Amino acid sequence: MFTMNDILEEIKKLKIVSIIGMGKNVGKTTTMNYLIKQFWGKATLGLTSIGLDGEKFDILSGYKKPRIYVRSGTLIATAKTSLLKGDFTREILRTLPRSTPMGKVIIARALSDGYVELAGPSISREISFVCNTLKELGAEIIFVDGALSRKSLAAPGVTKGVLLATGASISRDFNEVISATINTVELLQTKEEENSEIINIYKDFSKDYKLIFIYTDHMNLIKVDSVIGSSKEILNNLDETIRYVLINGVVTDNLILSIIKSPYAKFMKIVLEDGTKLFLSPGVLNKLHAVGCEISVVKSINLIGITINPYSPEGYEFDKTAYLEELKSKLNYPILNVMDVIK
Amino acid sequence: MSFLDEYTKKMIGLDTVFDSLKLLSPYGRTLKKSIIPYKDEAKLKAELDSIETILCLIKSKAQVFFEIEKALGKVCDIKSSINRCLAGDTLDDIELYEIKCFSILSEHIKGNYIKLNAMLKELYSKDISDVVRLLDADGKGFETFHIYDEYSVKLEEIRRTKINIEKELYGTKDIDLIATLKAKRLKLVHAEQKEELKVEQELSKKLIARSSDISNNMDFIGRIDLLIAKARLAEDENLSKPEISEILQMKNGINPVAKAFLEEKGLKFTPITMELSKGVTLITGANMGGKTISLGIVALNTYLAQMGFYVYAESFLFPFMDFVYYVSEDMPSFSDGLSTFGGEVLKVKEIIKETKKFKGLILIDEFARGTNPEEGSNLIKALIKYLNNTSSISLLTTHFDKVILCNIRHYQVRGLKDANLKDLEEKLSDKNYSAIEAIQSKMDYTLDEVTGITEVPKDALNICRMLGLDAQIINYAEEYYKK
Repeated sequence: MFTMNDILEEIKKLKIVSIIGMGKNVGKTTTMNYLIKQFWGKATLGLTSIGLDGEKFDILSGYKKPRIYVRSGTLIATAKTSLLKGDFTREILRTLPRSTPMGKVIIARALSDGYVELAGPSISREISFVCNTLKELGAEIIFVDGALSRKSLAAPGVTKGVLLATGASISRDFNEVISATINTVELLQTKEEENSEIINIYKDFSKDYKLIFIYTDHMNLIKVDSVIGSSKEILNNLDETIRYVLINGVVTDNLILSIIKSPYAKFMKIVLEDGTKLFLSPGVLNKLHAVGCEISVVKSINLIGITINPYSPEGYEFDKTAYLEELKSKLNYPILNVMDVIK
Repeated sequence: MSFLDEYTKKMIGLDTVFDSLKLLSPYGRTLKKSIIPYKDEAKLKAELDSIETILCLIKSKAQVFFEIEKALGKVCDIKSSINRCLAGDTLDDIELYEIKCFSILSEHIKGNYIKLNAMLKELYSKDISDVVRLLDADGKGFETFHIYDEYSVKLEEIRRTKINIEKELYGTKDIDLIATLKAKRLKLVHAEQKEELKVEQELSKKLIARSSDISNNMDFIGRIDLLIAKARLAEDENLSKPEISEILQMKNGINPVAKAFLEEKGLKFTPITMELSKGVTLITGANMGGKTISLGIVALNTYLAQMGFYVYAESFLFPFMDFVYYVSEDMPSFSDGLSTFGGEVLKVKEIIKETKKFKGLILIDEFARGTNPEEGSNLIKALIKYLNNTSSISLLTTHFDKVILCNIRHYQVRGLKDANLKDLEEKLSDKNYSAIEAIQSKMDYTLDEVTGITEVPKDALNICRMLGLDAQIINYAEEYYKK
């Protein structure tokens, strides 16, 4: 049996962990606040975010969302406009040359307790840079507010460990929430590509070319605006000598379903940045495997645990014990109910 | 008045030279974008002298330069904050932090600059240590900033009360108490923010009075950054100081891009030596003989010198120019509707207008190449005759025969004249070389000054033969040559 302590021990070991939510209102912020509390007085914390995730009010539903509350001494890396919205007394330590749509990223130290809004860079390389700077300035444990979003360019895989937050708000249908969670965990766990040459090609070229085709004797680099909607481009570049298709972007059902129809699918392997780039419905991955096509990633994700929130702000809730037990029986990870632990 | 257009700058390798000019500060980078040829001779001379002074010190005071360059790399752009401040806006703590860091670094650079004892002309850093003190209320001198308690007794009080409430808040699980404490805290947060704003307003007001010295130091940092970058470039690329003179004299000038390109292929680049004075100088010579490259080297070095850079030559004398014009058939501006020839004519017309009022350098590559040779040579002759009587320096290339007038300076590309043809044939049959590369390897790009009326060397036929043009055609051509 896993306990909450297992997750905390793992965080202490890994030092840089991102928390990603499967949807809105799944309790990501509550999880973050819980973790911050656990480490208070034990370690200097650093906080940042991948992109801007969640506003104070959920625009669609109008429900007031919880905010992140830090204690004095915490280091915060956030975009300027977000920093100005926080209410803790702050000391400015560094402004980073990289800019986000929300302004420069600023690193501040909290001189009092207070609420923070996190908004960070949305590119993996820059998230790494921010984390390194936080570490350099004295952060011992760093939490990254990570989005599981089609829009995000960054991969939470840049952090050493990932916590997945899931909750009742995903669907009113209990079984649907369970199967969606299992599916997400399965996608996040996509295995790392073993061929280091392929990984190196990905690292060298994917910044400029979103699609890279590797054939038995040559390579084809293609620039597209977005991977979504480029299935035609991919199909046109397949033949019986195709071995790898390297994709820098998000892969959806549509793309996979059209690849399945290609007679060349069985010759190729798809390589992505990490498992957060796969947005596939349950069962789609199996269909791809059935035609003999595999998927691997440049950087595998180290999933260290799952949190659940049995309440939905829409007013319904699941039986928390049934929810927890059902997931525990299907997934071999530490799973905990965030609403229980905060009490 | 005009200097080189963007296309020509790229063609002669100026873009590549600019890419190697590494500026470290945002002020230096802004300055780099606005580099243009000097319009004032004394200022140009001062700039070149400053680079020389830095080059003299760069090794003996390496540690000082290391400190300056490290600070240049850290300095951030506070221009918009200073402008906001001058406009009466209140700066936020992040802007104040940046101004504090700037001031600390600026003082650091100044301290090291003084150690150089360099006395560079018109380059002074103002003392802004009082700005550092203003923004370093706790006196620790750290490169961090916050609205320090020292700025306001009231602020200190609010914060103390607030922290006590936060402690209480953290220690309790009583929901009612939490709500009360949260409400109390929120009130204090607002009071704190109000008081912080007051401090920010006061600081911003005080900074207005210091903005002119701060701006001066932004300019100073940009200038010293650019001068060091120019000196580093001169050192890395082994450049020499150009000297202002009556004539244009280049000893062993090179084009770094062409040189790197040839050397990568294992070929040798021949440096170009030539002297040009008021009037016309003509380069004639074989096709593929590097006439255009020679023109480009003169253009590149003159332009660099005029912008206050060291140059790609062993030595370089040049007159202060009002303009530098370069006309070549490949210019893209000639492809918008006009025929190449039409384009050239219009460009030359523009240049002639300038020569009536100003003096400069005119480089014309194979004028009228695209028109029939009979008319072409007549036109070139006329152009030469005209330009020879202006106060500008003109350098023209041509492979037309019979355009050489007796009173102009004339250089000829040595070409294949002295090449060992047997060697060349061997190289041509070597599968490792393309025919073009083989010819390039045997082509002597040296320019020889020739006197009197000599014929343009006839390398065209040789080149046709070497490139394997049908023997029948070569035979026919030889017969025509005899006629």
